[in-house]
Amino acid sequence: MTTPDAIWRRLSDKKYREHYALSFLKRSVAFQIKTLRTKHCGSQAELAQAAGITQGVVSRAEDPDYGNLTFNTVGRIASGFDMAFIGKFVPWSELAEFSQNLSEEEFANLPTFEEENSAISPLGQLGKVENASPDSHVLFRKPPQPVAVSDSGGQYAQSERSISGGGVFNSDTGGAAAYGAARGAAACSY
Amino acid sequence: MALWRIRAYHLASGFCPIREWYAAQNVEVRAEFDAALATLSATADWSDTWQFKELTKSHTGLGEIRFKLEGPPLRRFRPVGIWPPIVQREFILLLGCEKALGAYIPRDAFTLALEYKRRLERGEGEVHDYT
Repeated sequence: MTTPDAIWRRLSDKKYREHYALSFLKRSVAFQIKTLRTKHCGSQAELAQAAGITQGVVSRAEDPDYGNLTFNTVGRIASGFDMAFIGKFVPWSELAEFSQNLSEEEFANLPTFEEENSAISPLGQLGKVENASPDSHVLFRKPPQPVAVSDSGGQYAQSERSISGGGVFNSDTGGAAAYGAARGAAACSY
Repeated sequence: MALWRIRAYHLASGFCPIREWYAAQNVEVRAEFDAALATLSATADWSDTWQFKELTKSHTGLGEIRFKLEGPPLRRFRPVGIWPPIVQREFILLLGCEKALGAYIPRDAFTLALEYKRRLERGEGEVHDYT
């Protein structure tokens, strides 16, 4: 495994870091799509249907050498997973850390919107998502944050209350249990 | 954390074929190879990825990492290592290789890789982390 020092030393060459960032971008996005698809959807055809694209587009999106994905395609695929994809500019140290710590586990356990919503206390929930009013008073809701890691997985705070943008998030009522129960729901099957 | 440990075979003389190959490549190839290793290291099942292929028939015992550089000219690379792994989730790189017009550079890449593998099995040479 390449050490953080070794990565950093190589990044000192401007031409190298330009190529590495581009190569890692296309490879890591393909990696994430395949990892999430395998976990949440099963086949490429199922993801294609959920995302409103063709199976061929999914296949190309999972090809680490392809590199010509558009924002629109990635956005549709994210929608198929019911997750968000954010593009973000970062310092080189963050790229080094991300590439060093890349792991299937990190992405395989990402929750869908429904899973996140189920994990939030009744006060913060939108209720059944299809019926959520666009002028809901809950404007900003904070998903449960992991506070400790044990052998059995992440645990959420039993008592956490925050006020954000007028909305109140309260996880007093067993968010962790609901979150855990919601895990495994097929993101693509709606 | 990475799921795989990437290692490199060193001959008894201390010569490391994969390091020599890497050092001889231009910066684009080196960056592409490093990025391929980063994502492969994070991938549990290498049998189900475009980035790796287990070799068969006369090349059984080897596996190749696959990556390319868009051209022109399009260039395809196939660094070779021991497959299946001797130690679980440890991939030992033997040498670097480029595929061009159906042939390989070096031409005897797989013969040489199998020879290195045999030497390692005889206890000749050493394996070190690839960094």
